[in-house]
Amino acid sequence: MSAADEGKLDSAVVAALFEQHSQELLRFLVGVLRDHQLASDALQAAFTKMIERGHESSEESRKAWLFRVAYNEALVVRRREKTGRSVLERVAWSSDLFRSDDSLVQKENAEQVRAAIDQLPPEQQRIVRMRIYEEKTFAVIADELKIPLGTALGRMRAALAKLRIKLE
Amino acid sequence: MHGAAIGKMSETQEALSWLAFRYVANELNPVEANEFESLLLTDQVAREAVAAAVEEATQIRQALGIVACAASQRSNWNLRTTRVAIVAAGSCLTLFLALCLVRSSLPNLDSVALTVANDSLSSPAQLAFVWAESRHGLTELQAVADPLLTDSLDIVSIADADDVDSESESSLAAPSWMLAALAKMDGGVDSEFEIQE
Repeated sequence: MSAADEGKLDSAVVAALFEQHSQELLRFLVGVLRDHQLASDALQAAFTKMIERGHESSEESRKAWLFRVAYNEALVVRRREKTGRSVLERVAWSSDLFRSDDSLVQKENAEQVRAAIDQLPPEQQRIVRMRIYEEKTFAVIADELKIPLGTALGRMRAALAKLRIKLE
Repeated sequence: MHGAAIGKMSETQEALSWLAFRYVANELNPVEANEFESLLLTDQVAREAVAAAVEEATQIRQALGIVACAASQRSNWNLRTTRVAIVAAGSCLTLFLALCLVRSSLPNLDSVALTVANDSLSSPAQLAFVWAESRHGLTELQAVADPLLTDSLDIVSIADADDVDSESESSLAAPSWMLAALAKMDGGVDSEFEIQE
């Protein structure tokens, strides 16, 4: 091992960290940046930092360290791209980030989620569809359905809580 | 006490998940968004909540997208089937009407064909009658179709005006040679019609 390599994490450890956390980290970065390409750039920068300075973190807190570094990288990317708040005007799930290569697995997952959605009360199903599939804001949904904004938010919140329990 | 603590933790987690969803859905006002992003600097649970919110929303979108796609395909299939059925029914109706028109314009040929096809002739005399009838019908049809022929037939009629009675009578009857030939084909049982030398 050369002197330059002394402070670096072992490549096998970095590979294991990538295997364990990269997908979740990428989702987090897409949530922050709302852009798949920018999120990938930030992910790459975070793992580069992990290789160079990962030894500074304890083994127990490596995941949190990685997420924190990735978040800082995301903020740097956002400033560099000068996208500012315009980036945040998009929703995160429009990205095709999680399109699986195995379409059968994807279909099975979709079937499970669909079955869970079908079990929701109709008024909650409608809000979920309008917000997530049709990408309408809650203000627009409330206006179209002629219900108070708080009611629309409450239905969505209840629907998500139920879906979370069913899909756990 | 222990259960209440778990319940409170669960409520806190649910509240954080909801906040994370509103963040990724761009449903926080600027002040709330800044506060939440400050929380992301220090709180790993909040970061994981953001990742979970993105995953949930993506899965729901995919599931709803597959449903919408399937519904669209069903709708397209129904529309296509209906169109094909309408075109097929229209074609059949047109063909039927065309056949009806053709049949109504050729009544005599049709009746002869039916008579022969049904093999309903019991005697040569009947055959001769049908022959004469069809000959008469065909002459009428040709006359209608060809005015020049009609004129020439009229000229012949005028020229033979004297012999009209006997000739016109005999022109509608089957010729004697034909009746004799038919009798012979029948086995020569009835020698009523014999070829006269």
